[in-house]
Amino acid sequence: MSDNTSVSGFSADEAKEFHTFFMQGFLGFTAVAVVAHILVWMWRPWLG
Amino acid sequence: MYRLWLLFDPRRILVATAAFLFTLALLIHFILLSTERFNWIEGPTAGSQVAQQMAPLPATRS
Repeated sequence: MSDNTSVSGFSADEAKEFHTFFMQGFLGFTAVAVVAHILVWMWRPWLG
Repeated sequence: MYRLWLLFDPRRILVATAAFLFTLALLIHFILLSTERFNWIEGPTAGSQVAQQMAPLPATRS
C-alpha cells in the first residue's frame, strides 16, 4: 500500500505527526483527570 | 500505533471522542450532584431544614 491510498487519506508521515499531537492531548487530559480524581478522593473517598 | 490514523478518519475520531467525553462528564457530574454525599454545591444537609419546622396544627375549637 502506498502512502496516499490509506483508508483515512493520511500518509504515514501525516499519521505519525497527528499521532504525536493526539497522544499529547490524551496524556494531558489523563493527567488532569488523575489529579482531579486524587483531589476528590481526598475530599470524599468512594468505594467503602 | 500511529497506523491507527491510516485506518480511521482522524477528524471523525476527534469529534466523536470529544462528544463522548463531554456527554460522559456531564452525566457523571449530574449523577454526583443528585447524591447527598457528593453534592459539592448544596452539601449533605441540604433540604433537611424544611422538615425540621413541620409541626401539627393546634386543635381548633368547634
